[in-house]
Amino acid sequence: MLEVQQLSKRFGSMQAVRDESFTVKNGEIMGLIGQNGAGKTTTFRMILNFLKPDQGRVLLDGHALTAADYNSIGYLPEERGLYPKMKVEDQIVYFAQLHGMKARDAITQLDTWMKRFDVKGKRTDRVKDLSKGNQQKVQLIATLIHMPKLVILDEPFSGLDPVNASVLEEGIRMMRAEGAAIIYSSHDMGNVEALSDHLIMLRSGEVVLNGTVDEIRDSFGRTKVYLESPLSTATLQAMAGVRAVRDDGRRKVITLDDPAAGQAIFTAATANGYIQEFSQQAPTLDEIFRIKAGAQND
Amino acid sequence: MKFSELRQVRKMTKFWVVAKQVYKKNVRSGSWIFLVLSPIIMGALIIGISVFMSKTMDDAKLGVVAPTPVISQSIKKNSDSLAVQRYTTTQKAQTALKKERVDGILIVTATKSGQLTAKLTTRVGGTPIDSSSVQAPLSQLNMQLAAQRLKLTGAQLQTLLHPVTIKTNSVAYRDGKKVNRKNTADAANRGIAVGITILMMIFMMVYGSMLAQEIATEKGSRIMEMLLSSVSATTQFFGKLAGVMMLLVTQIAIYGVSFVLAWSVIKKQKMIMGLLDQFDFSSLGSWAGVSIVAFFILGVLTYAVLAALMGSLVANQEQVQQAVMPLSMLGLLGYFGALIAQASDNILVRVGSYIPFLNVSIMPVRATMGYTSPIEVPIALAESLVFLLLFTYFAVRVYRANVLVYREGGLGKALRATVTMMRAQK
Repeated sequence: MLEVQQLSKRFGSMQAVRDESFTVKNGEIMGLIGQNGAGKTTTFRMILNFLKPDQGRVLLDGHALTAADYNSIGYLPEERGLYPKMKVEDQIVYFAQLHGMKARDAITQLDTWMKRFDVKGKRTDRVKDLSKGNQQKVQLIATLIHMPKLVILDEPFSGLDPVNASVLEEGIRMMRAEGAAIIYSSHDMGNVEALSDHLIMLRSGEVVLNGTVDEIRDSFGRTKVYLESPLSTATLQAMAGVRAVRDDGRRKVITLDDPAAGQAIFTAATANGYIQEFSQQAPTLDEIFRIKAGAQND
Repeated sequence: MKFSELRQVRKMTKFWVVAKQVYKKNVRSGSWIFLVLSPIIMGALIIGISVFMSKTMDDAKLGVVAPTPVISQSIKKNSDSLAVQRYTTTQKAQTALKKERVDGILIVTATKSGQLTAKLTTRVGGTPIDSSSVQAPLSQLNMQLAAQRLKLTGAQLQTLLHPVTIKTNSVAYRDGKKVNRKNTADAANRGIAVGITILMMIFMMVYGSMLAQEIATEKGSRIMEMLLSSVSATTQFFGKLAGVMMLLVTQIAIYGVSFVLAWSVIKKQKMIMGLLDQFDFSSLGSWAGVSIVAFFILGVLTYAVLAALMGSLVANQEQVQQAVMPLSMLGLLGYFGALIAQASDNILVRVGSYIPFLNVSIMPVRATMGYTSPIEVPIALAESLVFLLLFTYFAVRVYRANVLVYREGGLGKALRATVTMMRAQK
């Protein structure tokens, strides 16, 4: 279990992270979202003890990180890099050894991992001869092959096509099933929504959202109504509790000030009987992200 | 095993994983193999040419026509590069010369007074015959004949021929006091000094830039963060240093073995042995030798640490050359200092031999040239060692702060960013 307690870090005049706290339990996936420069990478670096926090502490299974703990950590940095001229196998074996794994074990398990992540290439290929996506998968294998207890992935989905992104999602779920505590950052709210058990959003180094995806969405209230009905935009606009109406062709997207207003819209829309769609939802994660990110400019 | 011990073991294991990785990667690289092999190929070529020349150069054949066989025997005994063939008549000898059976003919006649005169005819295109190689034995015979005529005893002849003995001795003065030096030629010592200087420079620069390249590549290609999540920057730093030192030791061992293997051939080569004889290797014996080795090790380590420091400053692979630059500059400065030291022991050189980075090249040359007092070398050694330790401590700290700082736009900015980082880490 990873516990981050009241972390703060300042670089010169810039407050990179302020009073950040959260917990990632074993067998849990935590998504960390936020705009560029929100403090995600700084958070990861402090967890890994690359950076010393000005305040607060990081505990792994109840104790501060020791040199031995690094053997049970898997970290995929945001900036990708491998030894271009080295063979895939040598590369992965080297990283595995640095995590305290025996070379022999890494060699035996390599095929399984290459299959799991669908790496197109042989273990004897040089890294530079692989496609970018496959290089990324090789690096991911190097991050995970020693079956870490704590997995930290900085923007693991960037640069992956949808097929490879779902391969990666599978890999992350597999690590969760093995009981690892996983924390990752992403800009793709689709991935985050589908994958995360728990979510943290940082803005200018501060935690602005913290909870499960559903909790966070619900906290914004069911203020979105997706409607296909004969009601005109003007009629909807005139109704009490409606803030805005957007015309998406056949469908209208209504933003409410008060979720309770949904009831009246439903009644009006179904006055003449059957309609194709009425769906009242909380804002999507994407929308929440925009709302929260935009708030800093207020 | 206690937990702390276990941690220590793990640290050591990772240290060796890093060292071995650096070693394995480079030992198979073309550039390192070339570096190691080129001097061996050069050496083999020199030995080969020397062997080839001595094999193909036949002894010169000399036809001798003389009143008595004693003369030809005496010439034969005196020169082992001459094959002497005795002919009974001048005509026969000339025929042999014409038919190229001999490279030259020597006709010795005795005058009425008993003096020997000789006429040497050599064939153009034949193996050259050195006239002095026949002159010496003939003169000796002449002398013996004269002594007989004058009825001199052997002892009297000896007395007449006794040469003046000259003992040579060169001295050096330091601060007005005479410093004893072995009876050696300055030129030869200079030769050894040049050798040391060049070797030092090559090893320091080659291994320094290898290490800088290694670290710069890792940082430039962003592998560094992944490495740091498994092994501390300090372990990594020393692991890399050890890996490069292992390469150096391998190279020296290869040369050692090659030299031992080649020695059986070398010692038969008069040309090379003649060349080696001119050097007084005794100046490398005992103390001086040990101190040169010590300077060499300290020098290579100091430059390697500097290289690691510079390598950690880059932001991308294009800056690698920029990172190696100060290394080359200091190396060259030390090299020039050493060159000047070979010519004279001026104040610049004396000061330079105590300046870190330069001292490792200059001081050994001064020591070899005999310019140093006995206390200077140990002082400089101690100073270099202390500097190396402090510098390494500093470099590790900078390295730790550096490896996560990426600043485009030159190493100066990178250095400033590092300072900010080091402050933030306090």
